[in-house]
Amino acid sequence: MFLKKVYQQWRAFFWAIIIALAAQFFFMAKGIENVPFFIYSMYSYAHQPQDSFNVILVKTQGGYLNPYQLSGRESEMLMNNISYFSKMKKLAYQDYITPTVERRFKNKLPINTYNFVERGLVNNHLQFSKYTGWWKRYLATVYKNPFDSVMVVSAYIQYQPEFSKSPVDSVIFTCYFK
Amino acid sequence: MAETKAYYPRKMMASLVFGWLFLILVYFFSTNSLLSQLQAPVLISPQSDNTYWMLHIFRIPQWLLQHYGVSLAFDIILTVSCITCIFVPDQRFFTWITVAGVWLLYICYCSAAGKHYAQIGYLLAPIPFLALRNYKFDFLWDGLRYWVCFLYVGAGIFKLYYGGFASPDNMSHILEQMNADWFIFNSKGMQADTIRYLIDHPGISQWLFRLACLADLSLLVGFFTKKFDKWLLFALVIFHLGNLLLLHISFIEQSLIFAPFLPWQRLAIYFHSTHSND
Repeated sequence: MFLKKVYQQWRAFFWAIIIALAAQFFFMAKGIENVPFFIYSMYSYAHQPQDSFNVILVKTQGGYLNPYQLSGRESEMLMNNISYFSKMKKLAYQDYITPTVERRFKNKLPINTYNFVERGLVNNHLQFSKYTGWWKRYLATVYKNPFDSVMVVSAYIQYQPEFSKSPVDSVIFTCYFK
Repeated sequence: MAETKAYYPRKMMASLVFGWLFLILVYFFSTNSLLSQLQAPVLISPQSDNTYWMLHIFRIPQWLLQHYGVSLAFDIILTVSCITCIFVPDQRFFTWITVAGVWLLYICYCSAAGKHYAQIGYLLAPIPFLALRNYKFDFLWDGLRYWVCFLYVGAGIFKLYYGGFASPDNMSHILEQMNADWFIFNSKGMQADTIRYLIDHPGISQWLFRLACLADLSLLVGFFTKKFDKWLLFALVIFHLGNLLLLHISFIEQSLIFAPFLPWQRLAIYFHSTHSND
């Protein structure tokens, strides 16, 4: 009914809807999100039971910082990219997207164009080397309290036999403020 | 095309929707998440999204994120445009700037944070105001409403298709994962007790998951009638409140997705009579 009315009164919008729907179904079938065609499939899969869960924590001299005291946006900006950085650190700072970029563009584009594309999509060593400096600045912005130093660590959480955190933390990086 | 009588009160809606968007931008400002407040993030994360790829190849997010002067100018222009749209709804120039601005802000933020978020209410709701003619705006606003219904019904279908709905203990595992670090800091209190109870009772938590799936699927009704919009709105609000309390997923950015289900004609009558009495 709606589409019929649109077709009769605003033909261009009708075709825009048809194209948008086709694109949405295409990307849904492919399972690849392409803004603005969002795919709301989060939490759809049956999650498998896990013995332990990896968590990232910020350790200070006064204990662990509670990221839930921050707003959702602050804690997301502060904490989410650490796991990405940590993953890249394990890969000797080779961005995991590099093979995809190579597969899509290498030997298909002139070398200069390929280099331009690659530099736009792939994080390089210089960016990784600047990461902890950026992270420190953003931490100082969102937490007004001054710190002498903080350690970003990874740990494990277990729910069985009772809720507990692994006694040993694995250090990802350390920031010194003074 | 002869101009037909407007179904929706566009001017009043523009003021309220852009006012709402302005409050979201104020929230971003107060939580250090406007571009100029991000301290020039160095890592980017375009992932596999082609739109992100295109913008990153041309260095647009990098340019906006890396230059303080540029990001500050961006934030100021976006905010001023949004305020202009509140008070001058019958124009297209500032609406375009606002729409383009919030989409760029979203892409830059997600790229820097390393995760592409699904909180998109504030991206979608301003789009219909790009139309100035009544019948075009009505179609776009209805189109937005159908698109929101489509997104949530799609989410419900995904939960059925990928097995989350049929699983006996999916929600319990999701709660364990999403609350692993939260429990370190919040071991006591009603919220912690409730989450712990749901983890320990997978059958009950799984029925909550199924209820959430049914809430998603209930938006199917929205394709056929607007009569139940207040109930659909109620289902959406409860769904997002549940996400907030159990999974700590904030929905302030997503809140504008509720706008298509508000009774705009009744609000217009109310505001009109209030102003007449004044």
